[in-house]
Amino acid sequence: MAVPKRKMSRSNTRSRRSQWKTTAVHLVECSNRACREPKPQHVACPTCGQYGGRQVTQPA
Amino acid sequence: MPTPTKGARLGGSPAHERLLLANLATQLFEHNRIKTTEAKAKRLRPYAEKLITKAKNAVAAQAQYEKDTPEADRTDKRGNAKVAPANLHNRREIQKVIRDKDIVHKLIAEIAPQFAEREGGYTRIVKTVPRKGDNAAMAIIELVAEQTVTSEANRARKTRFAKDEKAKAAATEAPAEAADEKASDEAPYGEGSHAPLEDVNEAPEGFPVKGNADSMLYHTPDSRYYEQTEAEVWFATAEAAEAAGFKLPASQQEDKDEESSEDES
Ligand SMILES: [Zn+2]
Repeated sequence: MAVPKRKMSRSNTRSRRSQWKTTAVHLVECSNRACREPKPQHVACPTCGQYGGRQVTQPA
Repeated sequence: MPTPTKGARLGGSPAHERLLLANLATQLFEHNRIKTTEAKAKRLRPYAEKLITKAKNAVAAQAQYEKDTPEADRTDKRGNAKVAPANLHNRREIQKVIRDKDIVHKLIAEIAPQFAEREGGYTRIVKTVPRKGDNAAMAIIELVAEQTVTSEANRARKTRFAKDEKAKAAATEAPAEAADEKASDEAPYGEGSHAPLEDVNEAPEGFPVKGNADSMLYHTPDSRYYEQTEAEVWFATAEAAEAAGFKLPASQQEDKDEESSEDES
């Protein structure tokens, strides 16, 4: 079975992990004209609870 | 032949998936709308709609049976009402999945007649924000409550007519203030309201609040959307608008400091 020959240095570990990046979530303005809060696309608005002009949820 | 579902089962094993979908369907019919993960909602939709179709078939079979069979032949020797065979069959097909008989009854007695006019598409999936914890994509799946377009158009016509009637009734009660205008045009929504002037954008003296009769929302002068709203009725104060049944939009009701409101819907 393949086994690492040496302990991986902190430097190497951290160099590798420095490439882990997050990306910003794509947000759009809510189509409810009274709300206009940024929200993820194709999702019921978490602020006003509307989607496509319909009240889908009661916002918390 | 139905195409087999590819890939992993929900919950890991076929048995788990069967139970999971049955439970989801039961909960959907019990509560009319449930929140679940998007993957489950997408698998549930065809599953639940087929059950509704069976319920509709049961209702249709029973109606046909009652039409075809004279009433005297519809009771057995003991005097119990007979059930159409196709009704019984469909009911048993549903009971293969839904083990709660109360829900089976609700499905056939309430939900199926509600969808009598609708040809498929009984459920709606709306995505919501991902779940906290595992960031799983979530969705709400619900039974469509709206009637189909033709029946909805009829109803809308009825309500508009009813609204006119109500406005007239309210107006006749309100005392006439101006001599040059008829009482029914003066205060269409009772005291504190004013019909628009010849120039619809000009506020009547002492009536600064705009009312939108289509959306039943009111707009105060400091609202962002005040300018672009065409007022069907003017109010003296926000309270007068509330009294007439006009509202701030749901999203604005919590913080009334920022009084903006929805435009014509
Ligand atoms: Zn919103």
